[in-house]
Amino acid sequence: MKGRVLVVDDDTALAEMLGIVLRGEGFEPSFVADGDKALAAFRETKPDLVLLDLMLPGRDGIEVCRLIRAESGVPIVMLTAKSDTVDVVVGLESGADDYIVKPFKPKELVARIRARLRRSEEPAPEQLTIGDLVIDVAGHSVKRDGQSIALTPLEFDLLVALARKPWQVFTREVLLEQVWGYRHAADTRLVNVHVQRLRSKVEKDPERPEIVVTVRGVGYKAGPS
Amino acid sequence: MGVDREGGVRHRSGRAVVFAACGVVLLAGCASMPDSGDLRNVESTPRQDTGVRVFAMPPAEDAEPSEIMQGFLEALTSDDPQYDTARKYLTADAARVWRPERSATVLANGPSVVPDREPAGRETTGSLSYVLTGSRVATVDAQQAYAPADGPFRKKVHLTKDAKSGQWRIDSLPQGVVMGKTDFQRNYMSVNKYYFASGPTVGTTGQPVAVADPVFVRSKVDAMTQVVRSLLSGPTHWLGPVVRSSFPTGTALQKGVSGLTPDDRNTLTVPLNADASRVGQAKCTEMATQLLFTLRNLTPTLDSVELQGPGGRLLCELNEQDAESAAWQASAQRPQNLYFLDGKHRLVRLSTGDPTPATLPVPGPLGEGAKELQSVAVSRDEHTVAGVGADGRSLYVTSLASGGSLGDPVVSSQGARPEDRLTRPSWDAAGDLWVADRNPDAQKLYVLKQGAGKPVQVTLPSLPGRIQDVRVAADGVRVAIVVEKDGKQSLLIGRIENEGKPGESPSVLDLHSAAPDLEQVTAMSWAGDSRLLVVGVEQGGVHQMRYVQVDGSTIDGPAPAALSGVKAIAAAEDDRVPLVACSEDGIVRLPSGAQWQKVDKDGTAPVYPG
Amino acid sequence: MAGDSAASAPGRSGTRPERPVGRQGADPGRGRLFEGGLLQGGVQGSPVLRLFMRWVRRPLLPVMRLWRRNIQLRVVATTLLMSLGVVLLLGFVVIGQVRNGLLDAKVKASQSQATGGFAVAKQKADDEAASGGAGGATGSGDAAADADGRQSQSVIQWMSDLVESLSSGGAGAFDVVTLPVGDDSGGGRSPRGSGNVSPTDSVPGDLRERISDSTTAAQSYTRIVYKDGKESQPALVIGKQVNDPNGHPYELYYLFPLTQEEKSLSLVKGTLATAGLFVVVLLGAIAWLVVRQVVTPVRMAAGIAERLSAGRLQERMKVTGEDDIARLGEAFNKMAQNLQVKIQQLEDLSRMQRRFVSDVSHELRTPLTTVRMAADVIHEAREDFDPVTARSAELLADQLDRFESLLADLLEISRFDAGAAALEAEPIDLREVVRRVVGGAAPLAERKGSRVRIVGDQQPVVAEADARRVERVLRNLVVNAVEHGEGKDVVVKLAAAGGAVAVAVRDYGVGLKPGEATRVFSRFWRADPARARTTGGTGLGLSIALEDARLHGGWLQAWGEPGGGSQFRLTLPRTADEPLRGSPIPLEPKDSRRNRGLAAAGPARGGEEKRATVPVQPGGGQAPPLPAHAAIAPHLASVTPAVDPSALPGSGARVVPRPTGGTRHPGEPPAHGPGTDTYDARPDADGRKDPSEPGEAFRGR
Repeated sequence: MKGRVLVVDDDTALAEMLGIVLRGEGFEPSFVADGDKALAAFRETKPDLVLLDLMLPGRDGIEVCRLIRAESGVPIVMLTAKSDTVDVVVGLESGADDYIVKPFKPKELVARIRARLRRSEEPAPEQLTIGDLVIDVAGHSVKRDGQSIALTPLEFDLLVALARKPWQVFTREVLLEQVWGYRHAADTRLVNVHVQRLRSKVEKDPERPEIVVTVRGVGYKAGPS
Repeated sequence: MGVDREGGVRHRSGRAVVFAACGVVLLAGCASMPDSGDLRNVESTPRQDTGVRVFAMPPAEDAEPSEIMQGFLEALTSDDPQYDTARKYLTADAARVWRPERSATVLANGPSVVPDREPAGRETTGSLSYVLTGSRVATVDAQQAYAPADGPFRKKVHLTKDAKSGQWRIDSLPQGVVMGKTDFQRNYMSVNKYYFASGPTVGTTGQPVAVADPVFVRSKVDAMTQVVRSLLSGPTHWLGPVVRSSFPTGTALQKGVSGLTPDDRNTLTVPLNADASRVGQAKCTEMATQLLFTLRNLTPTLDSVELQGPGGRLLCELNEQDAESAAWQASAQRPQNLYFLDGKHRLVRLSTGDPTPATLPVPGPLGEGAKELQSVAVSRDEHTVAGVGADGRSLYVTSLASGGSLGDPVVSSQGARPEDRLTRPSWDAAGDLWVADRNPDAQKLYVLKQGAGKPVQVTLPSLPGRIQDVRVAADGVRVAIVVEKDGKQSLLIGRIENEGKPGESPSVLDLHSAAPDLEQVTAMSWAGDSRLLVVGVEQGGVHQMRYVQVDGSTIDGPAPAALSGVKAIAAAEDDRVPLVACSEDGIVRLPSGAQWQKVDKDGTAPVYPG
Repeated sequence: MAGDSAASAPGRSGTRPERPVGRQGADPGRGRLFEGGLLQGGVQGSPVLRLFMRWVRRPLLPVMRLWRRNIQLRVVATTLLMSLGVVLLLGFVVIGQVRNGLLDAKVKASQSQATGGFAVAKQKADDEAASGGAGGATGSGDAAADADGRQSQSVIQWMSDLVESLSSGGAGAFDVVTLPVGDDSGGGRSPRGSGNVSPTDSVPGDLRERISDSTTAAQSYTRIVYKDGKESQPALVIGKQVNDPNGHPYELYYLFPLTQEEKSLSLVKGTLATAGLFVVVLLGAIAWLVVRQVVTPVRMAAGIAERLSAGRLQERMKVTGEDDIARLGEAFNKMAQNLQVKIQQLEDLSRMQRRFVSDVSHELRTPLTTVRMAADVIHEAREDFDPVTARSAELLADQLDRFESLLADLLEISRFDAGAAALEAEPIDLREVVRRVVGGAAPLAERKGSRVRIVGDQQPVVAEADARRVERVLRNLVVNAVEHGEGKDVVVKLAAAGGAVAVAVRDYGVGLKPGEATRVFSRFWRADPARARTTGGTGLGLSIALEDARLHGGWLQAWGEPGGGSQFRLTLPRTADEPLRGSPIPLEPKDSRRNRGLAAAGPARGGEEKRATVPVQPGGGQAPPLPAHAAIAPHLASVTPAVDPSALPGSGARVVPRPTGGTRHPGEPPAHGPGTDTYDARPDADGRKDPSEPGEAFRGR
């Protein structure tokens, strides 16, 4: 199990505490306190996961998130003190896979990190089709007419979850549990934002989705293949 | 923006000014009397009838005998159609016997009621007599023919008191009704019935000639139905021998018909009984013509009549134009020209339709003044003219076409004096020329068939004097003769009977006075189908011009405007044609609605064709 | 927001104050008049009559509403009516004057004409009498000499001639009639009339009596009847008794038709009617125009005020000219300007505050996170510490939890206060939410020994709502119910009806005292200060829940009776933005002690239930939470002593008359009325002073 975690936080006390907890759980944390240096540190350490504070001196956390996401599909979990919808949605839209609101319990944090890291451990060879997309689960690739579409691991997981059971309608809660690993009810905005992002990548016309179809009042399902 | 709005406001205010101006103009139009506008028909409102009506009242309970008499006489002057109210004054027996339609006696001042002196007392016996007195003026017989009459009137009326009811009632009275002259004028009106002359027809077309037969009907009691019934029942006795009716014998209105009135189209539907339904179309047209002529002088607006057989079957229909082509009616003929002799004894004419008359010379020998003439007569077709020479000795007949010659006289008189010689000739519609020789020794009336040939002497009854003037009516079956005796003239109307056998001479019969109250008659002329215009003097009066009816009744309506020194007059049967007279001022004429106008200062002997 | 005002905040700005359901028209004056009279169906009689009234009323209602709401219509209608009245009055006066004037002239002319006629008639009779004798003597020789002859002189023709000559002078301007003196056939005379006049019908009887009794002339008005079917017409009739040549009297009448006068009068009438119509119409139009000039700016002001109140603060009136309207507009604009500035300031303040809160939260949360993690680490390792330190670590962790939730709640409530809370509504099935909540509360319930039952989940209960918030509300309610349920069952009831869905959480615990039903929603309020701390909770849960409900446009209401448990009811509109009109679940549960008592007492008071299902919405007032009730309560209290005085203004509790109807003061022990027998068997164990009064509160937006 890979356990390299890059912690981007300006609060040294918190960073240190995070380090203590993460090490205690067997991760290898590395730290950076400045937003400007975050990207360089990311390139240098090649972490398996990034813990990112939203409010950073220098470069904003959201900006950092966007930069990292531009380079890599590595899971990003945001730490935020603001639980307001706007802040959360902005963060998620900039590419974060998950978020955790301060103050959090160490166990909760660890659970999220593990959930994000877990998926990379499932290399079952499998070929799925959804709409005109061909999904190679083991190869972690999505193709339309031979053209590869770049997806983050989370988006990929979301797509695979839908594609595996094309007959089933997934509620947001079920998706949260299956994709994000939440045990109990949490913020369904996560699902909404990621479905939007997924659509923007895989749909021909995001306004009229055909791959990921909304079932009003219930949730989502895979489009007809 | 500000500029834009400014412009908009100015624009709007300009429009407002235009609207305001239009409004002011419109209002100004409404506020003044119009001086132009649409053409509109004027609704004719019949003049209100101011005539007096007497409303008959049944006798009151326990009325005095004198009141019974009074009420009865009043009821006779009422509009009661069948005199039902008047009958209530009679006992039942008397009412059954009394025939009010039998006659009408016209008294000068109405009947005076005088108690008949009887030896018996009135109250005690319940029987009483009254005498109706008055001076008779005329009588109307059962055929509704008027006849002048004179002399005192005295008739006895007897009243009894009914034993049971104790009411006085009349149980004996003369037949017919009696009333004063003015009441008669108010209640009765003269209507011309039209029949066809049995002999003559119009020379050129062969049309039958309509003859007027005046009768008196009660004007306020369904006059139209009365007239129709009277027409159907045939001509009066006097005219009967010379006219025929186209209605088959027995023709009458269907049972129960009354209140005939024209409908909205001015068409009168006359339902006739079965006797009338078997005639042919030509006969039917004649019947309708008679009806239309007759009813038009009652209702001038009537346009057409429809004859209906039993069961509403249409027998025939006739309108005004058809009627004029079906029969010849004198009053419907409008003479085109007036003829007279100018100062140079030439025959000239002038158009009647011309408001500013200009005399035109007449072609032919008389127009060229070939012979000095005393009087002329132009035939009704205006082809032929007859003239009497200046000395009255000879009658010439010549054509009105140019180039003809005068020829020899056709009739000559041997009278000693000029006034003892030939009268003015006259033509009838058939084209016969009538002229009388006034020679006291051999007083004769001649007729020239078609204005030519040998003059035929007409048989005359014994005349009460010397013939002074003779005018044959247009229909050729009546003749007006002025007879002089002891310096007094009288106007007589006679019937011309033509036996029809060849060689048999026609005769004048049954002369009666048409103007009994005139003492002198200086001139006369037919002026209608049954009317004459006469210049004469009434007893104790002065010379005046007036119309007389052939039956001797006086005519309502105004006389022509007075004119002095009238020597001759000419009138046409059509009353729209101006009267013409020869007076001290020469020839003058009287267009309707105007004063006398001078036509020719030196002219004499004016005549219309006829 | 202070104290009690948490309950029933005002309606959202811009919308009209809610009206009581089932009663239209807030205008207390005229509205009540109409409604109480015709519209409300004052008729209590037969159902047929009421049906008829309703049938009549239905098409009238829009008209009445328009009438009430449209001042322009009212002014125009009033102007039309009044001008119509004036025109009618004026018309009658003018027509009367004209009529009198016309008649006066006509009467004068007629009198002189008639007098002349009478003189002529007399003259003619005298002449005829003089000459008649002579004429008779010469004419009809024999009869005239004696007196009888003269008496019977023929007057038939003479009289007809007389009538003709008299009437011929008139040429239709008048008609002449003679009648015998006395009755119609008196003296054997027949009546005569010119111009087709029917003499007996045209001359009035009383005039005839007068004429036959005296020799002076008299006049009257009558109607000429014609014999020939011509239409009869009004006329002036002047009559006199005259002698005929024989010396017999007869009555001579002149009839002057008033045709011309009538024509003139009808011309005047027509003119007046036309003019009047024009005047009325024009006045109406003028009134309409004038009122429009006034009303248009007012309406514009109203519209702009509405838009202002809807938040579009930049709206201004167009001001032209310098008249009163312009001043109104200027003042209005000034007001709007000031409002805008103030609101701007407030918004700035609010933004600053929100910013501050946000910053504080961040600043506070980051160290708290560190502390929390550190405490957790310490707590994990407490077994290695000595007991004192270990206990300290436990306390530290516990209180950190509490601190954390307090902070979270505080932040949440401050977010509401700042208006920063946003609703993310989407259609959700409330059953899911309820099951989740109940599932989450199961451990607690188990601990408390109570069971949570769900009722009414057979069918989907779908509403547009924010699932997160609804869940938070329900969790709060269920946890509260379990905690205060004293180990008894908790029932969660779902229902949907008529555009609303509701979830009611019923417990059978200690319940609520009167007045508490309102106060439970106050911040940091605790039912029993002595007990509360043991169960934890921040004291803000219900406040937040109320805010959440309000954010949905829904209601959160509490009902409770001491010892009888309580019920909290959340009512949400089925679709967002739809105003609530009622709730599918009655606020006071059927198994309340009072209801059970009533059911035992008899079915008479069925209306109570219904009343509860239709909660009365508060009016526009801010300060007293339930102004309608507050206003009525003292009145009721003064009139009907059956009302508990503790429910007087300010308590916010619904005033519920006691079933027994006896007067009771607070603090007095329960009377031995019949009502007490019907109560639930469970006695009030905790000895509360006012055990039997149910408390009920209406909470909502």
